Amino acid sequence: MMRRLGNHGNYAGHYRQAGRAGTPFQALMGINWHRLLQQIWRRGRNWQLTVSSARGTDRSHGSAPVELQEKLAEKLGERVMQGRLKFLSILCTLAFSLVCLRLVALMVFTSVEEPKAQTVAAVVQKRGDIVDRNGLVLATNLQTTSLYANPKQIRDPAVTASKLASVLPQVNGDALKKRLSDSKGFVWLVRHLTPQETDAVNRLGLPGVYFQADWRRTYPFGDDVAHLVGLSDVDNIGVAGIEKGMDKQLAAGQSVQLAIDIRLQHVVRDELLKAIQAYNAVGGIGLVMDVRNGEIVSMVSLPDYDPNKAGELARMNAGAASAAKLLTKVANGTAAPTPRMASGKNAQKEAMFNRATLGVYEMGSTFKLFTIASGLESGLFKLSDVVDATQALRFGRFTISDFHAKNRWLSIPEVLMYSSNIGSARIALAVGRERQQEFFKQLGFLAKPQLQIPEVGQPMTPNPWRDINTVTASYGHGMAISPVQLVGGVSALVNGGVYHPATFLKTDQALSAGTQVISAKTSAAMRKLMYAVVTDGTGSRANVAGIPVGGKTGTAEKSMGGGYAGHAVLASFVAAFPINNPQYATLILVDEPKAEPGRDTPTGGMAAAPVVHNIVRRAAPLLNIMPVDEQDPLIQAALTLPNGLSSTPLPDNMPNGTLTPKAELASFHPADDR
Amino acid sequence: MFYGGFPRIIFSGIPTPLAVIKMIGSFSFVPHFTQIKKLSWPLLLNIVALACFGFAALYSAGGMSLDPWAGRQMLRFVVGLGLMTVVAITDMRVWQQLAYPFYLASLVMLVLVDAFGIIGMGAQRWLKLGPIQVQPSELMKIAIVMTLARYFAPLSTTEVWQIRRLIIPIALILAPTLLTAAQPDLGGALMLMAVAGVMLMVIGVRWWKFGVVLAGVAAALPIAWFSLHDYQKKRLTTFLDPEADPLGAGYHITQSKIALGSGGIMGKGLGQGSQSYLDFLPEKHTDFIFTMVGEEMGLIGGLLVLGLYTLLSLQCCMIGMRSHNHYGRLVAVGIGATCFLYLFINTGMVMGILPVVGEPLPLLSYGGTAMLTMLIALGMVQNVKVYQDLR
Repeated sequence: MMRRLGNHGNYAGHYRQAGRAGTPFQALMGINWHRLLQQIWRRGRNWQLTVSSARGTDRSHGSAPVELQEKLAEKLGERVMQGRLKFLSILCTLAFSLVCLRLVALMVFTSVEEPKAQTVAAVVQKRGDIVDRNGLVLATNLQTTSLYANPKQIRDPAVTASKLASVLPQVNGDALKKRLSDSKGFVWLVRHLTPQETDAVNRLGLPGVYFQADWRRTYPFGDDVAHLVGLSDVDNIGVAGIEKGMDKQLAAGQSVQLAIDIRLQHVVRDELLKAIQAYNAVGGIGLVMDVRNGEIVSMVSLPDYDPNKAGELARMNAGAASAAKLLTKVANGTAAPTPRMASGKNAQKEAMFNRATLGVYEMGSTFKLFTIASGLESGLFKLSDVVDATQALRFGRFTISDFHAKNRWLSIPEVLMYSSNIGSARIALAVGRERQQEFFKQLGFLAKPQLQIPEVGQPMTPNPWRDINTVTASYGHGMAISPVQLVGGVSALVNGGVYHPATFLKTDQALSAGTQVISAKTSAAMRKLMYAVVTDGTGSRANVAGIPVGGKTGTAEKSMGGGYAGHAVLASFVAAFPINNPQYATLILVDEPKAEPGRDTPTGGMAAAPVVHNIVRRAAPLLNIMPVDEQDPLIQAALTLPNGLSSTPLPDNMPNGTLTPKAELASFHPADDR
Repeated sequence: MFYGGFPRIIFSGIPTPLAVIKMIGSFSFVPHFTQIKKLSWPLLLNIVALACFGFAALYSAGGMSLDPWAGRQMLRFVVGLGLMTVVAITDMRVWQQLAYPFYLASLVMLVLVDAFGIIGMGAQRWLKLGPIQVQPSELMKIAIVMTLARYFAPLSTTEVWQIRRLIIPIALILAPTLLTAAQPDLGGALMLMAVAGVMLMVIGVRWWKFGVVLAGVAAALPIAWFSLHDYQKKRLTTFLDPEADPLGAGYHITQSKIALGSGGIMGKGLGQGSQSYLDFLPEKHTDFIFTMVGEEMGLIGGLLVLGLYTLLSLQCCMIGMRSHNHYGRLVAVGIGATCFLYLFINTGMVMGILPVVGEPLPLLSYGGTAMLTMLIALGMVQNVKVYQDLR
């Protein structure tokens, strides 16, 4: 037998025999594939010829005997193969050494710490505190633990989810499973666990589930300051109030000190809440402004919400969103300025609505203060002047009448005290449209106020502003402003005539630079008029012994669907105290107070003035306001109208002139205020 | 002398049942159980030792239980040992004759797996044949060794030097490589190329031809890069910097390194490896089993596996070199090279020397096809040993 590499003589022989298989199938099965492949290359030439021709190329051995040729070929093959194997073994030795060295390096020379629970996935910035004017904390951070997972490391989302749900009753197992099946490498599972919950989850020992130190916003005073402080979401991003308006500073870790006095705030909210309950009202607003610098020391809007109740956060957010949508509508004039969202079913949205700044209202009679101030300031009127209120004022297709018409000439104080629409209209018409507009503009009624919270309403002003608008605006209809704008305007009337834009931040200086809008003399006159309203007029229920209060009632019918609803009113009282040397202006507004059976709809004097009375009584000690003797000649000189009301000279042609003003005042009833 | 008993009927192509019966009937030795004494016992011992490392690691990975993996792996090993023995004591020329049909069957399966394969981990790699799932790319690694040996065995070295003799083998190598790459199984394709390259090198293809191919590959690299899948690119870039994405693409390798590093010299002991035990490591029972070994059996265990595996490869080559039969010599050396490539690629991947390409560590890794294919391949080597005097 031939003993050389590359011997394949036998196969060809066998092929020839096998190739004679009988059936085509057997022939197919019997194909010698090796030979076929070779024949394809050789194009049918006899393979043995190829072998010999291949040998023939090796000229040097061409004539050598076959045995020698085979021996040489075998030697050559072995030599080549050994060389190649040597090369390969060197390669393999290198590779083996590499792997071994790497293994040693990894296992011995690397100090690998045991994998710890990964507590830091992302650094959560600690948010700045919000404090009141005395440094009491209104919003701060609580250290919590949040739970996240890497779904890629979760073997069985269903088991992990059900285990977590078994120790955390607040989570929904199905929703958790869905999140755990995510393809992402990071998902939040539960935010802000308590230490007990953290411990319970830790005991489960679930792989792929990690803890993250987190900060949760907490509001120690809860709903007392809900609308002002606002709230931030689960990721500590402000979504309402100061939290949103000053998010940049807070997110940077800076604290914010507000002008608010939490003690006063609590008093205002408490008293307002009592009034709302007593009159079954839908809501209420309470504002206290420092007239010397425009600081808002208290702002309450009811109903409100508890920002600590995270469970209701989503619904609150929905409420905030719709409130923002509503604001847009109000600004576009497509929605009523007073949102009617009460009546229970939208309670959550209602609670999120900040009436004090975002709501804009037709303020009603309280606007007469501005009309009279502009009249006095214009020089056209003195306190002793009288205006014709003998009959209703026809103006185009409108008729302006008084609710309790006196049908005679009225002195300027009488216009305020009887709340005469006709008188106000005549004063406003005498002052003129331009001067009225200018005055409103100076008081900040025509533009959206610049505040530190995002919930600010755009005032609604007449457009075009015709004389009829001047007439209606004179008694607070046909234009709507937000309560914070009103209290800002009243502050300017009583503080010597300087307008300070409202601010929620504590200002350092005692009196910020303001704009002189009326003279000190006019301001002094306004104080006297407002004091008279409380001592002798519709605001008598706001009277506090020892603390002189001046104010003005307002009872505005709420406009609904284009008309006015007689039974739904905004009962308001705007006041300043102590009126002899004003420090604070306050506005109390009770939304839709309900009448007791058989009685008239409550007015500002009935529903709102007593709230002011209670607030002043309770807050004066907090605010360092000393009681005074109101009979002191100095104070009398500062607060009583010159020569009293009886000094008003009545013109000869005054009808029904037999009644003295004093007698009229005696017959005046607070409920007449309209 | 041996050819006297060689059958008259040669089986090429797909053997019909009739042909099988004829073959069994006509071979002088089947079943030649007397040949069992000619088996290489050191090789067998080494195989069993390596498999035992695998069993231990799988037992630990299954939570100190035979249940999910270790038990089935043992069963497969026993079956595989039986197959290995049968393969070993069957006349080597039968396997030589079956090389092309085996190759053809593997190629058909590769085509089928591309067409109807089971999709796993984003690639089609498995083919369902009745109750069993087969990974044709694993079979092909053996088939390519046998086929190249079959093709080149009859050729003298001077014939091998002829370029025209290389055209068919290159086609035989490229077809399965491209099919495997299309699955996509980049690791498998590269492995096939490497095995075939080693074969061609051993056979004696001239150096300059390797140089030409390497230059061609280097030139084609940029083009190849753009045809890679995103995940394949990511694996390669991750290999260069695994810490860049430790929770994503670099996860495997980072965790693997941590596990190995925590093993120390003596290891933590079976079932004590926190990394592997706590499921930080996906595929810990298949491609990353070496990590399990390293963490729980320490540097000693790791080096022992490396050493035994390298010894296995060395034993194959020694058997090959002792064979008087060129076919047998090529098969044994080829399979030895395959073993070593498996070891290098797998452990290199686990230790971050090579990109994660997803090649198992046969005999240790859990997986039926890899285990059985490896045992059959080693059966071929045993076969070479048994028939080493066949010329």
